[in-house]
Amino acid sequence: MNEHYEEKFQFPFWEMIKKRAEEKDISYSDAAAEVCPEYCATIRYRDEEWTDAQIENREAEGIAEVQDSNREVIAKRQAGK
Amino acid sequence: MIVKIDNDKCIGCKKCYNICPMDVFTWNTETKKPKVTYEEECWMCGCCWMDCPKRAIDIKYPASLY
Amino acid sequence: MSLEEFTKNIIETDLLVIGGGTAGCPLAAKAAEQGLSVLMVEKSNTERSGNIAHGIDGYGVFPHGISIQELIPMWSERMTKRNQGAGRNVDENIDYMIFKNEWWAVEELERMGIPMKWDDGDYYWTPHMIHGKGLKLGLRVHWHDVKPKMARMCAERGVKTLNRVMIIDILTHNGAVSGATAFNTRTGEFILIKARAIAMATGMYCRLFDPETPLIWKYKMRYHYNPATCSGDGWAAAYRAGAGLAHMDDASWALRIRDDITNSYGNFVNNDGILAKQYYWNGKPASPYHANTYVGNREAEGLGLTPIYQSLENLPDDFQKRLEVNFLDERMVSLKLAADRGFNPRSHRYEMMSYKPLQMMMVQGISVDEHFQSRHLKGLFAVGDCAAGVGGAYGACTSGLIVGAEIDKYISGAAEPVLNEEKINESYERAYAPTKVKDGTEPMEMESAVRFICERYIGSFKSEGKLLEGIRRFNSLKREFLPELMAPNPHYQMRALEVKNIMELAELHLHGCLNRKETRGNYVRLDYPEVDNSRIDRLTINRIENGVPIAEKFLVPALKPEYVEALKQL
Repeated sequence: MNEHYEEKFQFPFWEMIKKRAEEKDISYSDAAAEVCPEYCATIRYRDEEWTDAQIENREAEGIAEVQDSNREVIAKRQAGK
Repeated sequence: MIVKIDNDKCIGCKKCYNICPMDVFTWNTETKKPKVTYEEECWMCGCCWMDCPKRAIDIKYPASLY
Repeated sequence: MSLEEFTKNIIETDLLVIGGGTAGCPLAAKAAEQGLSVLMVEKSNTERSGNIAHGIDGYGVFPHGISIQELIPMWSERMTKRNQGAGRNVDENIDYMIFKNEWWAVEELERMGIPMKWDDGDYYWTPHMIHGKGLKLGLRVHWHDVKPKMARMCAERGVKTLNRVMIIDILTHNGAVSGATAFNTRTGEFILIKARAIAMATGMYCRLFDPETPLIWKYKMRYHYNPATCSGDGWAAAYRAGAGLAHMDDASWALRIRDDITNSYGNFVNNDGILAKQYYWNGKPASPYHANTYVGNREAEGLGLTPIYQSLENLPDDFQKRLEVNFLDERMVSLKLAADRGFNPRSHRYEMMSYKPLQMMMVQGISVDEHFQSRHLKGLFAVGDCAAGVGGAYGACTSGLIVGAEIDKYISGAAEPVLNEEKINESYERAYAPTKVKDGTEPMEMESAVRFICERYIGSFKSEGKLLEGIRRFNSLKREFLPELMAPNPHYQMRALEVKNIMELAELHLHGCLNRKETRGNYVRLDYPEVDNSRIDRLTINRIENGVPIAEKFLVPALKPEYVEALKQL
């Protein structure tokens, strides 16, 4: 388990923000405001089918915080009310 | 030292001194540069680091917070 | 001494907003739009102040795809039952007002220049804490630089903002607010304010317990959920002026992660709907009981199963990228800190620390009705985390905007403010006595002593012996060291006043816990393991009546019939 903690990982988003800040000589906050939409465009935020499938996979593994009151609401939806 | 100011990069705009939520900076009116005076009160929000127009502030965690 | 001899700094205003954070800024901006003169005082600087000084990734929970009727019990279950246990802990009429006005508030914020939509121009919904097939109740936002925008929206509307000004006391006249005392934390100048109404927006209360990591010998302010600036100044001032505080015999807890390589100070918000897995050190899945409860944690340690780890391994790359964006929106420096460590969420695990009491949470605060007006002090309004039963960015902005829109009705009927000179003298003493002490006790020394008492004698597992010892030690501390609290400059004067407020509220908490003889939710009395049924649907209100501190049981209002009817029409 110890080995992989020694590898130094670089966050791609952070590298982009740093580079933009240095190129334009602006604050990290301003650079992030520019880079964020560019980076978000590469993420499948709007692919709801795919995103929901990932969440469902997780729930199938038992990792979800489903409450009793949620269950009632979901049950009603599924019963078509 | 969590918050380090690079005085060569600093242009004395007072942004960090003005916005720090915990008021950890004091202002040296002679050198016209900020100083981290109340280091133990820093809550590591990173506002000074992200708002500095010259990226003159570095925030690094020391051994005791690693 | 006449007022003018006291200070030249006397400011008159229709509305005084105390606290320029997530609730205070929208409130002040909206009130100014109604044509009121608005003075906002902020202990730090509204550009980067309050709970979202550095940003937030989730604005809040909405009745999105479900009705308000369905959301109220779901929200109650998620936000209060885990901590406070069964029963009604929050005024449902407050929930109703906030959820009913939530969309209006979003449109108001957008109109004022605050971004609520995603980069592609639409709203972005995620499962917000409350999971369940298809439920997308959470509005996700890019808010790493929202505070400067909020400061600007206030300036554009003519709000007069005084930064680096800390409130000392609320002044009253004939049972209603009439103004406040304050001082400048850089120059030390004393300030008097005359106001027809006061909106308290000073956030929650923390710093009575240790901060986020046990590695605190040198760095004492590393808190999450509540910013370190929140020392309960508004609650204490309101209490001294006669307003009631709710749920002071309760405290919230946090599950902390050992290292600051998460979105925010070692806490993990859900990654756009993907929760982390939890493992014992031997790689076997950890039970929620062991991972997520006080008592379970203790058992796991006793069984040699700790450390317990959280993991985001084996997720599609897309979710790892979403996590990076979460880092930016919530607290950008944590992305840089994780990068410095070379930490890789794809393959590295987050070590969890046990739950421990941290600060007061959303059920606690100034007791208000559904119009956010104090139940006990006329003209005092409380919004955001400062008000009992309001929480989240959505709660702060919505309650702030509601009060900003409606407070002119109260103000137009308010009497001419009269300032009480005797109270001003008392207030001046409270704030300036430490400046006259030489070779005394430093504020941080005092604060550390208070925190140690709360950690050791209140803590997670309470019992009578510990609480009595805690009270005894607290009384000694007050008697021996409070008179020699020292403030050699205005910055320390601020810290000295903060520690006085922290102590005043910690004392209510200590005594409250002693009197609360039950175990319910995350409140654990080892000597009273059963629920006290007489407390179900009730909370404790602490207030000062005719100079005498009282604690009374208060029946938490259920949704009023007229609102139940109104919901049926929606």
